[in-house]
Amino acid sequence: MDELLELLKDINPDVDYETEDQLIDGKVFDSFSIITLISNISETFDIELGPQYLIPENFNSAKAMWAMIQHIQEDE
Amino acid sequence: MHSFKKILRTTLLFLLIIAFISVGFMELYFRSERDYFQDGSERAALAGTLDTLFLGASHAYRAFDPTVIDPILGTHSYNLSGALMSMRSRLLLLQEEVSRNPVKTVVLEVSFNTMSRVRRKEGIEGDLYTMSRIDSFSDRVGFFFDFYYNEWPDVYYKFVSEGVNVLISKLKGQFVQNKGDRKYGFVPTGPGSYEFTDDYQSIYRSRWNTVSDSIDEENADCLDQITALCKEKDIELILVTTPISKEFLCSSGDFDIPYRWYSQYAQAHGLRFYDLNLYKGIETLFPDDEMFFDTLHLNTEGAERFSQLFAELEQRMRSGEDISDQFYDSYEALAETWGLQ
Amino acid sequence: MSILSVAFLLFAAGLIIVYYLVPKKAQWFVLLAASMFFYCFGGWRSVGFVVATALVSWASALGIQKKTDAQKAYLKEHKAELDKAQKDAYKAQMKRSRSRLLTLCLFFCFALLVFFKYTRFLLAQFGAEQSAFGIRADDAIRLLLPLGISFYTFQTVGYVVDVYWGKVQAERNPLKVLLFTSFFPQITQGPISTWSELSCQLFAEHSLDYTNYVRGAERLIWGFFKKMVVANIVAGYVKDVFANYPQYAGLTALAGAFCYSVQIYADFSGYMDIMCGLCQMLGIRLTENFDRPYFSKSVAEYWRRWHSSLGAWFKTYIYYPIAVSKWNQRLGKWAKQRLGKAFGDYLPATLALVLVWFTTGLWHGASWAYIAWGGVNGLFIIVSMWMERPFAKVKNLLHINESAWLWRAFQVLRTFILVTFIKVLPEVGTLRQGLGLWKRIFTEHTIPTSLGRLLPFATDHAAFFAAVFGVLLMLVVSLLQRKGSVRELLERRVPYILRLLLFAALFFMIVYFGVPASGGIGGFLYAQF
Repeated sequence: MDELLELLKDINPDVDYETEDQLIDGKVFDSFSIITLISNISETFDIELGPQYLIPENFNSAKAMWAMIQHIQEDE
Repeated sequence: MHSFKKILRTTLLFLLIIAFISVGFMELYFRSERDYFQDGSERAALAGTLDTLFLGASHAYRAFDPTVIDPILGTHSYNLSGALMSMRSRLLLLQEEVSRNPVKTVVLEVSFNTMSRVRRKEGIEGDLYTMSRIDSFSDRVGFFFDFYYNEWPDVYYKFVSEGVNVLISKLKGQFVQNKGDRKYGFVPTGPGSYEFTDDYQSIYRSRWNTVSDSIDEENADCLDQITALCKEKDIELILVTTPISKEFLCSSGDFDIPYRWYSQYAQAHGLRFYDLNLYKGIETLFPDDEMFFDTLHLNTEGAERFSQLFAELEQRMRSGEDISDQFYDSYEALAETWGLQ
Repeated sequence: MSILSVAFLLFAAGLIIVYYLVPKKAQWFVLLAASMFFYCFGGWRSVGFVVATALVSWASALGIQKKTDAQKAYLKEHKAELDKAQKDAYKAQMKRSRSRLLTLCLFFCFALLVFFKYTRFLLAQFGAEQSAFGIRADDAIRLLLPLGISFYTFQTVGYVVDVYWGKVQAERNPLKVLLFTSFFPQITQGPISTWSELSCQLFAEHSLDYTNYVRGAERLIWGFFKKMVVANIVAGYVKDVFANYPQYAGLTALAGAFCYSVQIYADFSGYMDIMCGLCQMLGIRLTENFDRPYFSKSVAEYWRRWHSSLGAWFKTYIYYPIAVSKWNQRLGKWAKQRLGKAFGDYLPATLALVLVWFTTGLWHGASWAYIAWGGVNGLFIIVSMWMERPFAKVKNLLHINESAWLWRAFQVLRTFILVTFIKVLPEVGTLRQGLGLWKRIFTEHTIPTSLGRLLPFATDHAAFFAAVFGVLLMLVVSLLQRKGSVRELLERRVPYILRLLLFAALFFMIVYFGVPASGGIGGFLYAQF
């Protein structure tokens, strides 16, 4: 989880990722930040983020992202 | 099921409102008699006085002038004809007038395509004129549903939009009834500007046959009904073909086909029939460029002269004179006199 | 079947009646029969293509699904025995096998699309003469052009890709896939739906519901009004300006361009209203395509609100896959090292956008004018993306209040003008003609001395006033929609009988103004896709 938080802070350090849950819907991340984030996540956690995971629900909060990452890792 | 009842109620109510307003607009148009062919109230006012009726399509509409014919024959006539009027419409209007007038004579105009024209192919225009003239609401409703199913939207649009137009013009204070120069149903065309040719030779050489020999069943049926109605009411039915331009006669053919058919029909039913195109000397009396509006219709002056000629011929025939020698007995014979090859 | 016909109204009425009479389980089958009837109505010759696409997609999706299921089962069974390397090798092998199937399916579907839509364009690019290919063959292609091929190909391909990605389960019943592919409300002009959005609507059981019925009918009538009264009257003006702009004043040409914006919105969204309304009467919720797009504050936002289902399709199936693909990410990293952080961030997205807009342009039409149009749109979006951060700094410096209504009004107006100019480019005729219209607007400076001279095409005054009234009505409705559903508002505020009369009035406006306007122009603009 800490690695994830670090990645997020890298993109936008001003957000409190513990509480923020409108990262996508609230437009905290713009579209290419998302793309950068996705590539960083897939590289850091060595998982394949197939397009089926690219839905707002999975990225709206750090918690959601972490759950998604774990889910993918388990599947593999 | 509660939903179903509410849906049904709303749908029916909506359709009812649409129908009601539609009829309102249409009636506004019909009763306004804005257009020159809408003569319903004039005919209603003349009810009980008419003893002669002229019944045909546009050839007759523009040819028989009651104000010229009546003084000569001592009749009270009305020209019931209309543009593109089908045989069925002729029967309908005849039935209406016969039921409220002491009619003694009916002159039915028959031309080269009266019996062969197919209503379904020709479209709604003629019947639109007829419907605009019907002066009873229930008759109008009946007539509307007599159109072919696929024509209903067009007829609906036509009369609703005309109703809206009448309403708009009334609201603007610009509503005007255009009676044209209508005289007892007859409407003159005006002088016309068709450029007639006199090179009949080359026209004749390049002529093609436009005359069909197939009789449409509905037309034949309506003719039978007209004949029967006249017989029943003791009305003399006369079949007459009005003059058409020499240019048209030369460019088309074979007019003997309908001519023979009408002759046989008339003979079989004991009716008088004569074709003014075969009247000897008609070309000199009615030169194309002076007397015709276009190749098929007489102009104003032509109508006056024709009405006069018609009345005079009728007078002579009614007094017992046999004038058959004043007519050629076929179009073939007529063509021979032209000297064309 | 033309939507603007009594035949369609009878078809819709018949469908509604039969739909609610049959057992609920059979309702989707009625929709399938209706869709096939609708498709074949204009000519049955090309129905084979849509059926073929549906069947190939059904089979491919099922095949992919089987492999996915087999993989899951195998891995579960042999979880303990295999090590990671073996698992990875197996997964890679299965993935290759699934990819092959997907590729075959995509190839088939897109080959048909390219053949029908782009043959002439491609041949022209390679210098081949039409006559060499055979004029008759060209005519045959046009004659056979399957209705809605651009729409149903994309929609169906989306389904197969969703199965490949594991987003949805493949459907076993080929007839259901056929319905999804050929569903008649969407076939001529979209919207393009995903399987998860649409299948739950299509295959659910629907009972008669008064609110859905009435609101659907209201929307249907409103759609006809927009299409027949506003769009078709204004279409005449647009046609006139596009043909005669070299003789018109610049302001007249500009008016013509704005008329085009009005026309295409009223036309396209009117069609959507008719179909969404009809679907609502059937209890089906169709994907929306428009969200008052002319109120957008930027070109990027505009494309999220105009024909949004197409934008969503491109985003899901082209933009994201390209943007997050490995090679693109590697390129981004390389760019970050060599060219700086900005390039690193934006380059992958930019490349993806270029591809998206190239294909979007091409999808709209097989010509350079449309590709240019796509390119211009793409350029605006890419530039605004790159400029977003610098612009934010500038706005801060100038103390521009983003939420002030004046600023927002400026943004909306600016976007509307921009979008109008872009839109009009490929519609005048060739690219050269489109540029000619632009040139005319900017270089011809005479000021027309009267309204009549400004709008020489508005010869029928009654129709003109009807169109203006229609546009104002649309504007009012749009403004009201910001607060909520207008139909709901009508239900609360307007008495029942008055509501009936209101829609009756719309009906008569449609008859009196819409019918004559639709005689010559007719058909919907997007229908040639």
